[in-house]
Amino acid sequence: MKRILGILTVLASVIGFATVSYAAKIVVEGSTTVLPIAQKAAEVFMQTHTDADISVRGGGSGVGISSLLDGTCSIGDSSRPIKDSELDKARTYGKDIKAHVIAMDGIAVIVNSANSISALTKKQLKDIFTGKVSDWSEVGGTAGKIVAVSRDSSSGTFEAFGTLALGGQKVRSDAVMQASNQAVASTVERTPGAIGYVGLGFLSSSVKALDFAGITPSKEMVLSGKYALGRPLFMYTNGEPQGLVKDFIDFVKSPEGQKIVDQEGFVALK
Amino acid sequence: MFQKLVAMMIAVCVVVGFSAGVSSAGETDLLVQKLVEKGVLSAGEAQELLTQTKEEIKKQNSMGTNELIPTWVQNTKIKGDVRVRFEDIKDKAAKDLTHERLRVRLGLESKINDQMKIGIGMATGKPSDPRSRNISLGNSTDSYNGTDNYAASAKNIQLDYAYADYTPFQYATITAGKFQNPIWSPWDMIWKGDITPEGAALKLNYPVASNLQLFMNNMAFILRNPDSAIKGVQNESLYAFQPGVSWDVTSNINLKSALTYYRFLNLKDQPRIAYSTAVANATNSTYSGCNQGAAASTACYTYNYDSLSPSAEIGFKNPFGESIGSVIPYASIFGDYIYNISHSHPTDGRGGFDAGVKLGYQQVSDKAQWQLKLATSKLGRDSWVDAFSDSDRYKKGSTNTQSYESILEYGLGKNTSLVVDYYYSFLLNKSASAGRAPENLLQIDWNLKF
Repeated sequence: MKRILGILTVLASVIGFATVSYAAKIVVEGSTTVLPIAQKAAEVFMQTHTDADISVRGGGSGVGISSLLDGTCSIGDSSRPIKDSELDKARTYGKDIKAHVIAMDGIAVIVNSANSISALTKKQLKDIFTGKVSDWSEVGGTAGKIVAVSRDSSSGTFEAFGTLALGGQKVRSDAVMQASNQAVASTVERTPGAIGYVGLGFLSSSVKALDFAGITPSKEMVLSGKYALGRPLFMYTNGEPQGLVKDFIDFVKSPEGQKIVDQEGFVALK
Repeated sequence: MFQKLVAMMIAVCVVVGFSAGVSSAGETDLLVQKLVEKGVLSAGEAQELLTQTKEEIKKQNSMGTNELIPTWVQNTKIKGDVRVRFEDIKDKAAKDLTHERLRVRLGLESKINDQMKIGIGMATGKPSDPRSRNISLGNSTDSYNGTDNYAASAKNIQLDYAYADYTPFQYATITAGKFQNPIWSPWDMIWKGDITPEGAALKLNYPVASNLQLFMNNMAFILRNPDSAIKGVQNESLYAFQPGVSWDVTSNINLKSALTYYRFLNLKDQPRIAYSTAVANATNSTYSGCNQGAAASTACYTYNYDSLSPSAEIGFKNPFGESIGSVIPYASIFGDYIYNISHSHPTDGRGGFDAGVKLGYQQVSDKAQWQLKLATSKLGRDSWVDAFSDSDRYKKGSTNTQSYESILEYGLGKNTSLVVDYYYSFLLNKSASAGRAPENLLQIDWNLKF
């Protein structure tokens, strides 16, 4: 009898230990757009929550939601709303997916300060970045070659721009690809005839931000939903978040977390 | 507390908006805008509430728990497509043949409960040809009773599929009825895509890691149940087992690979499957008079077709780097091999393969997207049952043949595309009368789907 009790005690201890260890481990996976917010937020969060072990991975929005459904992550990051097919899968798997909007993504179209253009329509921007238009005179500017500057294809901003501005079409083959928002802004700043796009947080007086589809890019316009190059960013959980997962999401949505959102070049909700 | 109250109000408005139409949904936005203007909500809070509420409503619709929309509407999805085809076939032995063809498919899928769903689909075509859902315009044999020999006759619509799906737990789905082929293959040499097997299937998927998934597709396919009282006539069936793996090697490279084992029961010494091709020197080996309740002249299978078939496809995003990536965003290399392990005749070919490349967009779903596919395929005479292979390859899917195929698809708009498909096929072993007897087949399709 004692032996059985002993075994049960050991088992209970092991299970208890495993449960505690599991609860402290949070895997955040998904959108490369959300990645810098999640990474920085995790870093700051773990400084004050020493029991938390947060692992942050990219992979894309589809991977994040898929991993959430498969149970291999606690939070699925996504730069798009969940798809009907993914909700169907969730239902089949018995999962109750809960969306948490953590920030807005806004993209500003910028040109060299010397450029006479101050606004573009949706069609004009699409034509420029897909290669149909190659001279500024074709969109009402002073004659001169257009130099398109784009983020590289691994960036979430590239993906967002392709979806929101180009309707899924690809950026022209002669575009100058840059690895960061800052690099895009710098290239546009020193290249006459250049046009690029950056996150709203990377706008500066050294380049000219264009009105797009009749709206001047600003955080207010992104938050109002009127600016066409804006979109919400999500963290998805399986059901209402509990424990440290809840604490982490609450942190991201808190003023301190939203400050990180702002610092990373996105639009804070608060 | 106040935010929750506002969220609930917005939720009600959004639901009403969804139910009553766009104008009401616009009114919801106006309400939120008013709350922002009056300082009740910040713009960020309004955006957060509105977006999260829309997501919640979408989830409720998906789960069938939205009380304002009939449950059957929430649980049912309708899909379909129309394909208009021009087809031209040229070979030396026969006169040139030109068809204008039409394929129409309409299906629905409805959830019965959280673990079960059903699918029902109707399509054009002839009951006697499971490999094609086409009807030829102006052709009387495709009319509803097969006899009306005049233009604009009504055409056949038949049951394309009808199945029940049961998912007892996350990693397994059991299907019964008449369903889409569960066996994966990167090319359609072995299985013509229009075939909807009858019987049961079990699909298992297990994610080992976020970038690695194991799967096993299994199928029990009832080939022929003759309903005959004649002694010796057997039910024929096929069992297929396909273990495989899908691995994201990097964020830009995916490898999918599988090995399929096909086991036929009672195919050898039985009458050949009626819808298989009957082109001399390009068919499975048969003999007459197996006496299984059939006429003495009926062709019967000489061999069985138990086979092993490895398949693989490796896909690359931006295969040629960033600058060319905008022109060619995706490429893949693929191949299938099949080997009949149930006969060892030295000249009746036991093996077959296909190999090819895909370039362009991974899928064509919008305007100006494109995809080019190039492939070659070779099927030995008795490598595989000629009733299942791609019926466009050579005279309705003959074996003992080799083909070169090129397909160019171009997106005309959202969910519509133009496809040009060209086959050059010929016999592997020359026929005495016609040599290699090459055939050129050109298809130009206009696809529209919803």
